[in-house]
Amino acid sequence: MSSEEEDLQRIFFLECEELLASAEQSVETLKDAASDAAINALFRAVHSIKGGAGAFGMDRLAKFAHAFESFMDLLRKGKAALDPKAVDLLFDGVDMLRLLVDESQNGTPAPAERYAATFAALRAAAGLEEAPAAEAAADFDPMAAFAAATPAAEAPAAAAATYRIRFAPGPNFIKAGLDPLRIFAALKAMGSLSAEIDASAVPAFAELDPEICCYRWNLTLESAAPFADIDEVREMIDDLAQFEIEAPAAPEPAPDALSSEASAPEAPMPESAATQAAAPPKSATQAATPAAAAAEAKRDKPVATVRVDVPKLERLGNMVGELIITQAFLARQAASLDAETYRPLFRALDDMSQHIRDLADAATAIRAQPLKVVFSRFGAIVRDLEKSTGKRVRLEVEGEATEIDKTVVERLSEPLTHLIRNSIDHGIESPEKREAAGKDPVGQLRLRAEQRGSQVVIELADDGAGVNRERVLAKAIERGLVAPGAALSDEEIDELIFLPGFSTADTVTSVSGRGVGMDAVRATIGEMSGRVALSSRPGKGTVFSLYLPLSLAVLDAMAMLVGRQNYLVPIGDIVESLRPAEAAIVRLDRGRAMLAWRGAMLRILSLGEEFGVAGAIDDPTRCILVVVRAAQGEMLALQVDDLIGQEPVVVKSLEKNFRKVPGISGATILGDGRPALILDPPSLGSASARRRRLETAAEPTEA
Amino acid sequence: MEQPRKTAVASEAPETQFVSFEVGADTFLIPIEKVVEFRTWSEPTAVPHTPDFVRGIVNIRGEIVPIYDVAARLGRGLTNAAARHVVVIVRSEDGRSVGLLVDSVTDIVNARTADMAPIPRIEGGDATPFMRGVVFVEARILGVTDVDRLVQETLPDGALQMGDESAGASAPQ
Repeated sequence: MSSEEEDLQRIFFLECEELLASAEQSVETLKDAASDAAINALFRAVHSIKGGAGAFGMDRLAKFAHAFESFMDLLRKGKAALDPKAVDLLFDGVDMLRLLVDESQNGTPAPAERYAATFAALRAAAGLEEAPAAEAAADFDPMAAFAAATPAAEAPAAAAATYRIRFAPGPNFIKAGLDPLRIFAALKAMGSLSAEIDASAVPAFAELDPEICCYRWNLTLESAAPFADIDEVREMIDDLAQFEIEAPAAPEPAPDALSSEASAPEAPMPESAATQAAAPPKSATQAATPAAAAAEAKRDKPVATVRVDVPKLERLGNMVGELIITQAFLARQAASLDAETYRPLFRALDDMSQHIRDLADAATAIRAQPLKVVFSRFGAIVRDLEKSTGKRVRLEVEGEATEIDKTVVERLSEPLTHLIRNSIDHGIESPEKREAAGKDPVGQLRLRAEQRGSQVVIELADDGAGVNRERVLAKAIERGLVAPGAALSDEEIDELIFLPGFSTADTVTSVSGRGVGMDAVRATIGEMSGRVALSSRPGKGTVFSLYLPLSLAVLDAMAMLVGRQNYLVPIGDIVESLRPAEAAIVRLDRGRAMLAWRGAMLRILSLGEEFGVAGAIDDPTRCILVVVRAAQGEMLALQVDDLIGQEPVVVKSLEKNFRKVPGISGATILGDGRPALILDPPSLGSASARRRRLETAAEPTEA
Repeated sequence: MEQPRKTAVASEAPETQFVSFEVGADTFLIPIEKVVEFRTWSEPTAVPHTPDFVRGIVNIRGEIVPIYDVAARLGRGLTNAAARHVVVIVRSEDGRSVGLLVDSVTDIVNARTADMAPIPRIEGGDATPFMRGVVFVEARILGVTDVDRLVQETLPDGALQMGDESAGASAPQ
């Protein structure tokens, strides 16, 4: 395979990922209510996958997508009912599509039986089964279909229609290896084509560029092919040319979304129409009233998009990072200059700092992706779990448009899936138990995301039984994680489920007991510089909260001095910094102390002592205490010598050349070129909590 | 670039280049293909909860690189590092960059790896975990360090227990 072809395939699989997410989203919408927009979106997604699969010779995928598409076509035309059975079939169909895409991409064969069953069901539902063309459909060649075939179901009804097409190649059309003749040939294969040339854009002879096609055409196509087939030609062109199709007014009784989109006056640029197919459709559940539908359509209007390789984005991010470091260096150098004499320089430095901040924000925004990409999969997972556990669950999703770094989006799928499985397996009770407890037999699972400052918070709340603390504690003692007889608070008990090697499932089920525990969830989130917290109320339910940084690369942090070392704490983790009064310090044994703060007693963690830093100040009253959020809603007072100031820092990995260090989330490079460590208060706090727990236990297991 | 290690005919084997460095009074070798660059010593940023031989981290062109004290690693106690000391940045098999603190870098020497003699095992244990073998260089016999093992922090050595600062630089057993 040529590398160009490989590239194209790679892009196709990337697109499949988006298309599948969009398809899942559509089916999810259709589960709740019939929606033309969702049906059309699903049709487009399946159709696009079919097209690509055919072009790359992925026969099984193409055949399956064809059957799926035929069924969608019936639904689209109202010739098949969208009953619960049909919705189930759509769910199964999308699942199988995903498996088949995976098969084509990675060679993992899709389960044969499931494939056969779903394929047969789709073909039956699409009316392909009894048609004499059944065999022909099995040998389906999408490239041929590209030109000729109309789905069997609509063949009798289809009459020739007249499409008017405006075709204007852009400046890169020929350079990209495209040829207007091929476009004409593809159209001609569908009917009779006449062309009218528009030479108005031909420049003066001296300015002619042989690599730029300066002609434009007005084409008239008489064809019985459905709009979608003609629209497919546009996919060949990508966004390298203007390709505007004016749909026929007559043959389709109600113009479907596709044709109305393309001919709608507010979408004159075909580039935007072309990207529309790839953009995941917005949820259309609320589109009940015409006004809402219009608003929905407005929001659906896509912006022109560019596909960029991730390494290029990473390069951009790295360069912004270097710029931030250089700027910090300049700022430190300038600090010793006289403010009066160098006023213009300081003003310029301030401006530059603001511009760099904006630039960093822009670079972050480029990498951002909506959480919908992961959230859209959970509907199917919840449905599967409902079937396998016999429980009934309603999943509510909110804030799926919240955006976060692409890398985070990709890595969130596994931990969130695990949390959802956990909530259904351990949290939500059986319908009988729920009724007995006076609850709605259908359990509620609420998945919510929102941006708070430089963090994204994702919450998963269930209205189940809450953490069974008695059992958790018993298990932890049995596993030697806690000393028997240790007095732990409710929060500390809840925290135990995150310990490695802890699993509460009495019997290992296929649902949760697969060897990945909550510790893996915490570890994965931790690797993304995020944290997981849990709060639970017996009989009322459990809420897992995930706090994730908006960007993995740049962080707003407070620089602090301990001895001669600098440490940084993410601003998002800091609640308050204070110089404590003597009266607020409660001195304990072994040189330990606590801080009385807003009516609570906080542990003071001296960084100098914790990290063994030479020259750190001992006496807390001569220090600054930084109150930070540790794990589990607990607060912790970090004792440091002094604060240096707040600055945006570029996060560098410690793991790349070294390893993860407890209590440290990464490093950054200061203005003087030296590295400094970025602290991770939750793991600082829990490491310290673990020590405390083990002090009560007889045998410490860790040095 | 990885050099071929197995050579059938010793006499025809190509010579391999090594960087020689000194720790205390002794000279050791590092295969040159492992070496990325040399730097002079400057105090790195200390990292808590690491063994003593991990002297800290430095910034090398935007990457965070740990510095290991070779003397401590070889069981000779911590180096009293100053500006005349050298840090050899090496790249390990698993793609990590690590700085090795040594007293000085002395030369580039040629030796036939095919002639490399294994080190006889003493008292049954793996008593010399950081040596790949010895080679003859101009009538001297020098130890070739195993860079990939040197940079594995979890491999304990004769002098130091990993885990905390309190272990200190006690004498090898």
